[in-house]
Amino acid sequence: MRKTLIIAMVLLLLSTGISTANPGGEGDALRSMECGGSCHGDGGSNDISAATVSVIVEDEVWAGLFTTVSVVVEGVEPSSKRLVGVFLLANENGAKDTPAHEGWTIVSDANGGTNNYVELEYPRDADSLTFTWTLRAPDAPIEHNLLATAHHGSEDGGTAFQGQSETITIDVLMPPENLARLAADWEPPATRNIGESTTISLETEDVTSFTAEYRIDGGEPVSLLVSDGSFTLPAAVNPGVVEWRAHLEGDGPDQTTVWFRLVAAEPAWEVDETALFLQAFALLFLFTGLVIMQRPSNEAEMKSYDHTDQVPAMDTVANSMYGGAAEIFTQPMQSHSGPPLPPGGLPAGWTMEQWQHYGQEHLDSIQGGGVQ
Amino acid sequence: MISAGTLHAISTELVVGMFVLSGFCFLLCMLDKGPEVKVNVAHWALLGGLLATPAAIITGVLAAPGEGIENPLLANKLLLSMSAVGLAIGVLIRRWKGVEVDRLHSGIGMISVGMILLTAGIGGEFSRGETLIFFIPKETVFLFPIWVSAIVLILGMVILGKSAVQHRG
Repeated sequence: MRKTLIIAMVLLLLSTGISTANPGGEGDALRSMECGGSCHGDGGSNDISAATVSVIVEDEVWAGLFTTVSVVVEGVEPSSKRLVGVFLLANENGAKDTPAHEGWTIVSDANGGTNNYVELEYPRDADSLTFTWTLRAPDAPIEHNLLATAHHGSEDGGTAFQGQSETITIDVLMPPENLARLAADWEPPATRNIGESTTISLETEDVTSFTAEYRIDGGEPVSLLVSDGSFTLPAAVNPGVVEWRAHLEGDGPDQTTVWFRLVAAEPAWEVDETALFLQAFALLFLFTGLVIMQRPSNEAEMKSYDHTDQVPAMDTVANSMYGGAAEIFTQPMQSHSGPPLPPGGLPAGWTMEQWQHYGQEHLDSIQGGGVQ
Repeated sequence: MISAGTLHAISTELVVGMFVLSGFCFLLCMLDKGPEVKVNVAHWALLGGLLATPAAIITGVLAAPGEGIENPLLANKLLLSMSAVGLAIGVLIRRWKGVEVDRLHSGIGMISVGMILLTAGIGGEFSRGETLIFFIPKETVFLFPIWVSAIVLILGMVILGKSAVQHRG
């Protein structure tokens, strides 16, 4: 039995393959590239991808204002699930390398979140895939770096591949004091539900008037009606991205904002959390109670009353008087066959053998008044 | 700073590891094989897994994207893990009361372990989109109306209270 078990376990261990890929992806997240070795970003175990990764961003951006960063991934041979993940990074250290570590703020990523690692499905009929981030530039007017790494699996699913872009240097400049701009604490919406139009109210600084426009899939821009500092984007019919931007005019230099992305998705699944948590605790108490009230099974009950193993007969070292089973206790008992001994024991001068044969006669003579 | 996701991976491995050890020992108990220490190992490992479970739940909530429970998988995870914790607590209390480790006891322990493993499988489906457990309900949640949950909760507390009184008596 033991040998069979060991052989079975060895065979199971030998049957495992070595895989470094996570074909199902890791999910969008805000994480450093190495991510503790728990994701695709573990450079030590990845092969080099044949993909070309490029970061596209303005050479000069205004400190504290919005900018768009695009990462284009070309020539990928992904896994059957066709997932490609891209890290947007501020350095090559592998840790403390998110844009946030250098003062950038991610306003929206390619999926409408605020993550530096994003996964998208690589289209079958496309040569490239573009990941777009909207960032708010650091406040410090110095040079900053950005780079990207792309991660994907392979056809056989066994190896993770990693490709890296060149590091791009961006000059972050102090904007002119009276530059028409969006307010420092204003953030654009990044997601919305399908079928819902979106009204956006801009909060601005040094702006006297503005116009707005939107486009779909990089097509021709369509002007929007601006009223009381707000405009409304039409509802989306299908999941996808609508981009919009504003032309800000003021006493100082005018500014055209970046194309802000608004991702339309199916409405999120909703649940009454009170009901859910109440049910969870109800199940906890119910199952605890049900288990506790279970009575022992018949087998255990029988076992609790069955003390066969404790009877003296099973005790091999017990005295043979109690049925001890050891060999030394299986000798026949030494017992005498004569009459019972008198209270004082054998009469003086008698042996046990004599008592066995003549003891009764002796007793009779005493009871009969005879003299020994 | 270590992210909630990494902490969740650590605490989850702790929980799953402890529960698997416990489940293996309960299996040995059920088969009446292996060394006598299996009974103690099964219950201590179960207790260890239970103690690590709150850390896994908290880090999991912090690591999950979005606010609140926005995915049926998360809801199922919550219901399943709480049910498993209920069973495990029941098994430990039962043992503490000196009940014999019979097949029923071992079986309940194994069911608890199985539910925790199922919960971990749902985690894989949620975070990576893949799991070995193909039958996990991805879009269905069996949610009671609040009044049903309230009745079940009261029922559970009554059973627990009654059991405590009997034990004291």
